[in-house]
Amino acid sequence: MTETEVTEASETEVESSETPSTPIREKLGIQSRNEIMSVIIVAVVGAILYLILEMVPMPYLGVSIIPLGLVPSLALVASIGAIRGPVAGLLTGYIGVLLSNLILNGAIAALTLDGFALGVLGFIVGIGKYDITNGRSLIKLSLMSAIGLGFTALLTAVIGIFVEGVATLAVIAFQLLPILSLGLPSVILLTPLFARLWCWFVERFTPSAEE
Amino acid sequence: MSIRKNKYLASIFVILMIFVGLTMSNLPGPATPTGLQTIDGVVYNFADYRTLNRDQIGMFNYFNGITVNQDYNMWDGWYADGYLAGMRHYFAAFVAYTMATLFETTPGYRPSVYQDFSDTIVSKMNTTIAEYGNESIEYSEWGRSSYPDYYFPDPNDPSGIPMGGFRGPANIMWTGHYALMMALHERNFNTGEMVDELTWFVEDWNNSLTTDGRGNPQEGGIWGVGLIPCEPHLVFVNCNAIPVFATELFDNLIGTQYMEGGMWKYGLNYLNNIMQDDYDLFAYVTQVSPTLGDTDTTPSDYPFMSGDDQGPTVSAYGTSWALMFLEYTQENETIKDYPVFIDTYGREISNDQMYILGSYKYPQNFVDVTAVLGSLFSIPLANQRGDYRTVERLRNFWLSSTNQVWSADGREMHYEEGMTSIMKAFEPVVTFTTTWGTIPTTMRDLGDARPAEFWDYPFISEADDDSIWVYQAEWDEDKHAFILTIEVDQTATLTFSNFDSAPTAYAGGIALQQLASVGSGHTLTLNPGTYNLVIM
Repeated sequence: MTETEVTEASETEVESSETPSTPIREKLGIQSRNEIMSVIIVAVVGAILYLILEMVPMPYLGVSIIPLGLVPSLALVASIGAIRGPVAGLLTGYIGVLLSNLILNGAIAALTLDGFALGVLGFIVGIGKYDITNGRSLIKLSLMSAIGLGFTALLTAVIGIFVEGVATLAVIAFQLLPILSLGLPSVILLTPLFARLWCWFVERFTPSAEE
Repeated sequence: MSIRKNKYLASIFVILMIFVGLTMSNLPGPATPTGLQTIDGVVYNFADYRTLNRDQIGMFNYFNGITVNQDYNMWDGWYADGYLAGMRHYFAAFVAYTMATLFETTPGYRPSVYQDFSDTIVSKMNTTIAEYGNESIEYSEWGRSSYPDYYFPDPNDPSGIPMGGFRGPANIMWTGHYALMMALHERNFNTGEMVDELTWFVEDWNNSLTTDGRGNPQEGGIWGVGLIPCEPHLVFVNCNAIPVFATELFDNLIGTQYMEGGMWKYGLNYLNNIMQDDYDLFAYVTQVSPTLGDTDTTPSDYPFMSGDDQGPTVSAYGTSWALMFLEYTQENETIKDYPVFIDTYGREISNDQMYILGSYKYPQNFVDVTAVLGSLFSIPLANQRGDYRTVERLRNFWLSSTNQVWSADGREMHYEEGMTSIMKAFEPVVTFTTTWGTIPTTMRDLGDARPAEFWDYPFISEADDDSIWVYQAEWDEDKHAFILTIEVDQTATLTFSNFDSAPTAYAGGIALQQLASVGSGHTLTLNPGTYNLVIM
């Protein structure tokens, strides 16, 4: 199923839904109960996938104080925003960080605001509409992911300084720089790839796509 | 649309391949293999025995390379020149402690390479002006300062007690470290060569702590606080933690009773009740006398805690170090203070990264040397407290942008880039502190001497050290078997001492080979591979 088809299907659901439609709800992709359920399910599955990706050690290269490498979990959050809308992207990031904090680190950091910061990446990417089969649309997806990551980085820095009381220099060196040096290549390169893989998966395995 | 028709996706594929190829490094190595073996109905679970990993042994090889292959006064590879020259021998002391925990993890592997390293690093700590001039530790520690003409209680009054040279009495940072390095050497290798010098230091501390310095008993010792200064007008909590631990170990090694006799009782009470901050954690420093040339104060104004309007001076560097080395003596204090320390000084960067503030009063101070050291020393402290989550989070912070670098022959490991690119001296420091925090044996474990019968247990006395990685090596006295996990790069021979007769090595519960009798020892020759062996 392509993104266009996904949008059409959503519109059909809107017509049959008891929930009143508003432009904001339409933009957020939560116009009907079915859509809300679908967003929640996608977010939970996405959060579990996020946790799994976080468990896999990823290679990186240190260049001076900058690490270079890929963080697929960031691209996953952006991809889910692109595929299922801003709320799904936001929730995937938030729940994913919450889950990984609890399961991998046994604690909650920064009043869960770090999860919110990551969720903003998925939210911003989800605001746009993409045709995953189209190269230009994928370029747009990469750009939106980079913009979303910029907001995530800024939010993380603000949380670090004002909530965690981290030294400004530490925020710059150990939060901003790594998010950008690891995150930008990840979301620019991997997000369109993940989205295209999802599209291929839907086309290949879902009954509606076969019809 | 297929990927082949989508130019953007195709470009992404190409860029990804190049990018992954360039950044494919710093992946964690394989875990040390452990398993179960049953021999004659007795089960040997290798997971029950202490284990090293490849990174830890690589770290030893790196420090061995920059320590034993140059003269005692040379410090190539430590990168601690300029103002850091006054600190490099202290880095060396902490490296000695790191290696002592590493040696103790495989107590049945005591080759000359371990003993030579231990002996050499002690010698590097004690280079004298008479032998090495301005390149000596005596010079960088004491000779270049104004301290040689220093008296107590008035530093300008020669009728007071002379504060001596760098061997004491008022230089506890150096004397404490040097004595502890010797005590650990004796604990781990039982040579007896350093006992006399070690005894001299402990007796000198006893004199300083229990008399007025002129032979008359005096509570609180020369400086009235039951602690010993360095510099020599400042008493630091961390510097005194080292000789307390050294005294404990000395008592256990020699059979003396300085601790039970109350040598440090007054000082510990002072630390625990007076030298405290607002959180009931250790304050950093107490001044016990005026400085040279000070005309604003008189000796009667002392002692008092250094500080400012916000209270006493505090330091993660001093507190983390003191909590770690004093745990053996006052376990409950460290257990009580540790979580408060982490809460007060800790700062969370993310869910899997945190660092420790140098001083919670100055949270914006981030790259000061002692602030960095405080954060790094907290790693082995957290490990000693069994707080492995904090160990991981601190390590992730310090290693998040560093590269793990292996030598061309694959034997030596250290870290580069990341924080080490800010100051080259952090390269060895980050290497040993982050690895120290992963070693299963802690400083607290080293406070006890080995039992007398330990020296009769079978052990590996010689080996082709450059061809092997010894991950587990210890005699199981209950099962009368030697446990050995080893990786062999090239065919290697190990010589065992203290076996009464030729033992057999078992692998997977099956006899692998009987050791050959050579002289008074027995040799085991292994082909390349990784082995979990039970030798009995």
